[in-house]
Amino acid sequence: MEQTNNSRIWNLIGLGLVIIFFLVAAIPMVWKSFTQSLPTDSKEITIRFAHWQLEGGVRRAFDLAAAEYTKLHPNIRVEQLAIPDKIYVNWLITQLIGGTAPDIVQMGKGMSDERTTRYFLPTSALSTKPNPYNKGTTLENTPLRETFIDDMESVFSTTLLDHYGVPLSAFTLRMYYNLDLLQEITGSTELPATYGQFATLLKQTTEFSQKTKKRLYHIAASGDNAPSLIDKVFRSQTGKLGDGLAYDFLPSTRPPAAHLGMAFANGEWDFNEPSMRAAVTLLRHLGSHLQPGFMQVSRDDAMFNFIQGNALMMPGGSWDYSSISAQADFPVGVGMIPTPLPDEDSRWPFSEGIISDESTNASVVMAVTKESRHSEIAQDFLLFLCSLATNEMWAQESGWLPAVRSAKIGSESQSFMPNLNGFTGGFSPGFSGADTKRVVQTSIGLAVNPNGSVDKFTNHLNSEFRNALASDLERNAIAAKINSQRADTVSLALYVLSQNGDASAADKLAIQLEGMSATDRGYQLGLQAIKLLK
Amino acid sequence: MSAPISPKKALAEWKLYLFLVPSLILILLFSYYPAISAIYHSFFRWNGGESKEFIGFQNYAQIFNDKIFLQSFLTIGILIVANLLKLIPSIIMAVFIHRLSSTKFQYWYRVLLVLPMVVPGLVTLFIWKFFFNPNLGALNYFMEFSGLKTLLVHLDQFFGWGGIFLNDFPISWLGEPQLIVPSLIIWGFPWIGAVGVLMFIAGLQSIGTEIYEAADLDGIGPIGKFIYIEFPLIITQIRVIVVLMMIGTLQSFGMQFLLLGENGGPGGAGMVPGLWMFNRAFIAGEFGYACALGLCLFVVILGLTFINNKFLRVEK
Amino acid sequence: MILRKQSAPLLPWLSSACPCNVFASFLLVFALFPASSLHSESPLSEKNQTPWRNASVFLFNDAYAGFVKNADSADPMNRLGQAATLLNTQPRTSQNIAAAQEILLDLSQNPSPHSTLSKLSRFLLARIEENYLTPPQLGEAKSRYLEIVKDKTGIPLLELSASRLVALTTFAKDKPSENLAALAALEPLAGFLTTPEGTREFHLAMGLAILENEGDPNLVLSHLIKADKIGFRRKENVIHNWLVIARLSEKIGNKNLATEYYQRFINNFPNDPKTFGIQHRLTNLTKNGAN
Repeated sequence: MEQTNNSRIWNLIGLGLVIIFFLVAAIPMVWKSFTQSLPTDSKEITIRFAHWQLEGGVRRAFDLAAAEYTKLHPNIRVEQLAIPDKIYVNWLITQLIGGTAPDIVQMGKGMSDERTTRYFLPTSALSTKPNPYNKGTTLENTPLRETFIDDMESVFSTTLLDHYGVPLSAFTLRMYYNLDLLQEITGSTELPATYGQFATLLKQTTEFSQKTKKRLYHIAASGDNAPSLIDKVFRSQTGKLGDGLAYDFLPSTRPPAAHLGMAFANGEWDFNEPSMRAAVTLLRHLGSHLQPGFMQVSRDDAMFNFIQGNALMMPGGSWDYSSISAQADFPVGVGMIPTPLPDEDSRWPFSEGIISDESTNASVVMAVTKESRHSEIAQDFLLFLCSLATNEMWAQESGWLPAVRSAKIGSESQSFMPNLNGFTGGFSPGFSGADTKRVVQTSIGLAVNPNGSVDKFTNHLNSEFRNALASDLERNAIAAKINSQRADTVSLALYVLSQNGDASAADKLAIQLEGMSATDRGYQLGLQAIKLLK
Repeated sequence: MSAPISPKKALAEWKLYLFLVPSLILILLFSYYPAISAIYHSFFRWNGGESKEFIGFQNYAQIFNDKIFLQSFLTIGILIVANLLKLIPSIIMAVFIHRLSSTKFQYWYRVLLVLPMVVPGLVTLFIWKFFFNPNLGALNYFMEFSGLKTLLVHLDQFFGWGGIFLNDFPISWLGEPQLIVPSLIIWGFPWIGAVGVLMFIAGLQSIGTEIYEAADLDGIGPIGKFIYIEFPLIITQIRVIVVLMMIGTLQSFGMQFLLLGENGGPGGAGMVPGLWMFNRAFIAGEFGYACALGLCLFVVILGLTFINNKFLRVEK
Repeated sequence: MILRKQSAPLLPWLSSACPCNVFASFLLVFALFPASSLHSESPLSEKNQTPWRNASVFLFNDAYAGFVKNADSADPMNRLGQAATLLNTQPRTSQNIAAAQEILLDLSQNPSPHSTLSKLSRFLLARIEENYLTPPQLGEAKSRYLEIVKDKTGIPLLELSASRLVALTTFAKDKPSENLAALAALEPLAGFLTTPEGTREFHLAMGLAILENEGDPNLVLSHLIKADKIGFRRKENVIHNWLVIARLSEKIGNKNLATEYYQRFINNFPNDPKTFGIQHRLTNLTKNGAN
């Protein structure tokens, strides 16, 4: 009896604990949902914005911007939500569908045209007027669109024909150096400026490792950052390949995938092409200095190795700088990713010159959701964020590049400024889509592993590439066809609305007409390329 | 077995069935609805958004030309055979624990077996990923320390494996196509799964002591006891584990995804059907085709389960 | 008259690019819109406009629902809207396409086979035959496009039929010479086009199609330059056209034309990533002559 009473008491205690923990978890959640759905008659307004940039400097920068905004508008509080990028898409879609999305969210992940138009407010109307927060600056009378480094091209949807959101930053790729190690190895902290100097540095690093018996990675690469390195290597050697193709009509630009596909199908180029072989030779040279098995290493692992002082250098984006400089206990140097210059070395006769940063497109796009109860205030905050003064402050605090013209940056960010004094280069083999990328990435070992060779890589790609290319072009053609089909309905709707005096519809239709023909052309081109490949 | 009750009597207490409703709703919503949605979408060209086009059986027809998907079954077949062999250490461990004379020690060994279960599987995977690291991983350190690497280098030269093992270079377990499948097999060493061991122990404990006494009288040694007594009597548990293992292996792709990435590693050597399904959906954006692949995988699993049930039936 | 100054950011290089006043052309375009209005009745009511607005922003299912809800309205535009949105209602099925075809076939004849509504319906029918049916009925589509062009509709959207004909002809045959002959037969279509957009797209399509088939480069250039004189709204299309003209001129030894267009690109897009490479090419061209 006593035992039964004892066990009853223990059961009751257990049940009580479960109930208490449940209430502790449930009550705040229910209260939060409840208060958010109440109409607000309080004088204080809270604007929430969400993003996936967890880098410390960025969150601090956003906090500062929010605080500055509150100083100007004391009754408005701005709350930041930093969501891990791995779950951001699922979180955002759930919030949008559930009607609980924040007032402003970062766009770019998981956004289809339908979702964009259904859930977000376009910013085209704002883009034609000056930003009121630029008063007293050189951009005072400049329409918002022209205050950005890319004229808001990065936020213009060519299918929806509207701008969605505003960009806040721009990104470039660089090579990070451990300057202390560099000093130990070479006796100087001067970064290599040419590929020859870079190759010499790699050789010196090998000798240093052997001499000191220290396990040292030359380049801490990973599956995340290596593809951009590989891309640059190929582009540096294939710039002149386009010149010889029958379909080369666009000097110094990237030939469209379909054109390259047709040329491949016609036998005008393959991986035994001298410039391709030169690219693979260069890749092999560079790859022998990347850590073994780098394609299976994650970005965090590579960064860990670099920060721990186990690697001399690491390719990375400007977005990594704030994290690296905060965590590394050595001075960090930043340089361009070197590629061979013409006349520098007879082994690279196909080099055109310095490969520039590919584009000046801005990024970190923030947009106002249609569900926002204070959409005008949210848009006002966006205007504040992308004003010259705030974007400048944000860039300096985060260590990232600004998206607004004339914004000054800190001295440490100067190395990340886009370098346009260079060639755009040629193309990389994974140019057409997921399958060619897959074939290239799974074959990289054939080029860079100790038991690999240029022949193994090129022969393998010659045999596998055709089907992968055809598969990608088919997918691209289907996407072009769907876009073309949707454009039929959209263009008719715009026409009808324009006939009813809607000036903005007339404007959009004029742009749409250019896009429709281009899409049709691209579709026919894709079909032709697929026909030739099969 | 209790006698059946009449439908009238069963429905008289209909209110009690309402207690099933919440669970039923959750099962319908989170188990059946996604499956039905997958079947529905397998007949569409669907990129995951709102746009979809009905294409009938085109996705299924494409499967027959999909070399990578068909090839992935070869890889998964090798892993299933390897997993079958990996049951052996669990069985041996269960027999060892069962044969311990002290019940106290039996208890503590069971606790020691179960404790690692609190570590999430994902963490274990990350630890193994680190083990496989060519420069910093414990596996390469062990290979060099034990001299196994030197042996492998000689074997490489002798059999002409093409320089997978070289003296001056660390072994790239996840960087060489030929080492991918061996790495996936080595993963989890010493392959003693707590759940399996506990299930086998439960089976072994149902064997009466009189059977062992009879065996001792007949002069049967320890191995003979295992072959003639213990193994036949735990075959039911083995069968259950085999079925679960085969289904789990066929469906699984988490390990391959974490260790090798979405393309199955160098040469796509680690590509398994589940990973290819993920690749087509989230990398190529062919969600409709991925649903068709999933259905195909479901049929294969169903077939294997049917074969298993039919041919591995244990007579009582 | 609708002023476009603020919403046409491409104006600076457009107006410097060509001697004719592109701005005036656009004014002319928008002046043409009322002239080609669909019907002389009063404009669409708000209720009837909503489905069209939804359709214009990709909300096809919502738009279709709206058109169906307004189905009791006598407005044939409503039926046109139904048909147009059926083409993209999700999921897209052959039954939806067939239903759309049926509506459009009826509208192409009723209330009048010569009305703008009829022409729009025929245009969509051509699109269905080209792009929605499996297998596509390209012969029928081409006939309809030709008919629409020859109707001289004066509607830019419908005048795209000409460039669509060109797109369908570009790779129709295996032999480039046969394609070129077919394209040559389409040259007279330019005479039927009255809107700047329609004309521009036709010349651009012709130029690129002849180029794809390795036809006469001078003919290509004449088409592309005509397109350039009309001008584009999107910067990327301006760039593409200028660089194709420049590169082709360079290839055939027309150094002056190549220099003109390379220089134009550099002057108007000094911050484009391609500018350095183009400048380099221009310098070589000036030093060495054409390739």
